[in-house]
Amino acid sequence: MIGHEKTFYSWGGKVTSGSHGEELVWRGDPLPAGARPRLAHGLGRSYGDSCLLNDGCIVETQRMDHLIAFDSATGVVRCEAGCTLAKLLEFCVPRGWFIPVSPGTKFVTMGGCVANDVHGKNHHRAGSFGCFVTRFGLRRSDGAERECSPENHADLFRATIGGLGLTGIILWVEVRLKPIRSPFIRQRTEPLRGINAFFEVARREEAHFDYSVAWLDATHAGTPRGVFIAGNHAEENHAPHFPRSSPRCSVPLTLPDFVLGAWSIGLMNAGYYAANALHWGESRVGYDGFFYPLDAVAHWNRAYGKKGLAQYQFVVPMEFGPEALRETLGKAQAARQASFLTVVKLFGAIPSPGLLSFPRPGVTVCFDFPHLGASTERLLDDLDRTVFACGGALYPAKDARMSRESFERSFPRHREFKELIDPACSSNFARRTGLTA
Amino acid sequence: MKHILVLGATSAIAQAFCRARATPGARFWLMGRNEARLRIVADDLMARGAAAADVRAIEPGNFSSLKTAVEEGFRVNGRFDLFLAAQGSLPSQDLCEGDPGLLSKFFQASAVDIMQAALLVADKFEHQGDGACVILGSVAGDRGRRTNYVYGAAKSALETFCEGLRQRLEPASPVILVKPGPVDTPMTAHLQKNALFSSPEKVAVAIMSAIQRRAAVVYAPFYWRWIMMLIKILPRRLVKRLRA
Repeated sequence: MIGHEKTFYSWGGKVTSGSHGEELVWRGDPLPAGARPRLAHGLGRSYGDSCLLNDGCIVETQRMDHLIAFDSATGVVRCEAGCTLAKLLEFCVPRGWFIPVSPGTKFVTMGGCVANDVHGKNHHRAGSFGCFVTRFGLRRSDGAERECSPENHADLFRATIGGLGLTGIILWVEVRLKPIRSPFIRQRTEPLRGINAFFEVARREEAHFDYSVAWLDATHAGTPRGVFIAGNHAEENHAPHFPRSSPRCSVPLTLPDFVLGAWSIGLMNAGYYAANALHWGESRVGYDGFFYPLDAVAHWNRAYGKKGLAQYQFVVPMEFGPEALRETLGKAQAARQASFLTVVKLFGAIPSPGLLSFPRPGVTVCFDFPHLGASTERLLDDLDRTVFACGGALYPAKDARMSRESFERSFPRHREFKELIDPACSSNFARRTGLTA
Repeated sequence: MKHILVLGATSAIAQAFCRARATPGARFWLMGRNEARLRIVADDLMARGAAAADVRAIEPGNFSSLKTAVEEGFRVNGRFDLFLAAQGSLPSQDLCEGDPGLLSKFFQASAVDIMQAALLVADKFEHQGDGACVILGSVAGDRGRRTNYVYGAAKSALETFCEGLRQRLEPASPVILVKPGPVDTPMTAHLQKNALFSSPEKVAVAIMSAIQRRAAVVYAPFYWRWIMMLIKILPRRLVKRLRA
């Protein structure tokens, strides 16, 4: 443990104050002593403040990245919590295995994937990340390491998956990988016009594809348009694929706020649509380009300027989907808030073991606004009204503002969860939503 | 390059290097100070497909534990293609100035142990007729600096040592001194990071290419060669007034 004063950032540009960083490099090492609350922190890719803790001790885990065991017959891999998906992919893809559930970036840690019970383009087929976790090691403030699985410490197992790091420090994770025969994805793109198309095309095509997602041009006036993107792992390995181990380029410094304004966002969205419109249909792409397009640019969040970005992701039951999408889109456009990247995805019915798991049957929509201050806050409050009127929920990993009431409405099992929080753990998110003091 | 002997195997650079070499058939003999940590490194290499990864804990300053471990390694593995010495620490300059015990402890672990191990290995390599020696130095060894001259002194001792050992083992065994600039590792966790910091993986790549080229002294990343060349020609009259 090596401790020092340090400021931590989340991907959306939130910062800590008065926090102390302690690196956890070896999983056998004791946790920092002292009465200060603590929180594990991997790569800080949560957008809001669930990965931050003011006036506390932040346990940095990214150097704790060893593999522990790998079974090449079953594809079960055990690795330390700081191991990133990028490192795991580098290891498993050449051996014919893939991460069972991939979020939109590979620069996240395994511990973070468990703590946020992340989801991916294959939720309709596979469920969330937590569905593939067979067990993990958790160190609580009493000092003992517990091996948690559906059989062993089942209550902590369910609480830690999606538990936002509040149940203790995750030391290692064991997951079932998915066999693949090629590092390539056979991708299919199709234009979408009108709100209903987002649901009809997805429902029609879902049965044929492991992965599917829809991108929506939220800046386009008139009939909403978008791109339906679906894919399967290619059957045969035609050519070697060399994934990026580090980003291709980087945004070297925080850009001035005007760079990503409504005008430029509109232009980029139109450009993205036009680029796709050139070649609808099938193509073969590397897994990096399919799953992690934004990873090509390091620190892309800096493009949003000093105030950062406000991600807003919600899920509503399927029957309210079209209505919720139409209404939120209308509200964003009426508020003249351009969303850079808007994504619509239908969640499937496979339940996650996590008590606080966000994915649930229905449709999830994710907006990505430059943070413009009070006007953005007002818009998000307004979007909340739509979401909760539809019986929906907000995603903690992308949130920096939800109230205790919103949290409790989103996660009905919060009481059960609270019982299992490690008394030494806390986060800015947990304090705001009343999970910890 | 299948049989690898490492002193200081828990160092971030040694780990990055070993991971990249953990292919089927690779055999590692990992020596270091902390057995539990060595075990974690060994499990990682085995999971990546290494054929064997044994660990031996060495007590700093205890020559017999070092000698036993090295000899056992050669006995078990038959031979080694590579000896990598990555053991070392970055002590606080201020503490070393006030605590003579700390100074000798530091020198023991970061210089003396390494020389003793290298000499044991040199005998074996002479007998074997091949095998490469890679020793981690530092740019800090090129010129003394107010803020870390104790660390720099140990590293420059290794440089002079390597120069002589290189003559002794020529031409059968190359002796390679790798001088990284600042690297983002647990050793430097307390330092403020800047653009000059490199990663253990990049240094590992530099080590591998140095072995293939049988280079004598390599800087990692390469541009430190030019930076240090400039710093080395600064006149002493100027340098002694510097405070950094």
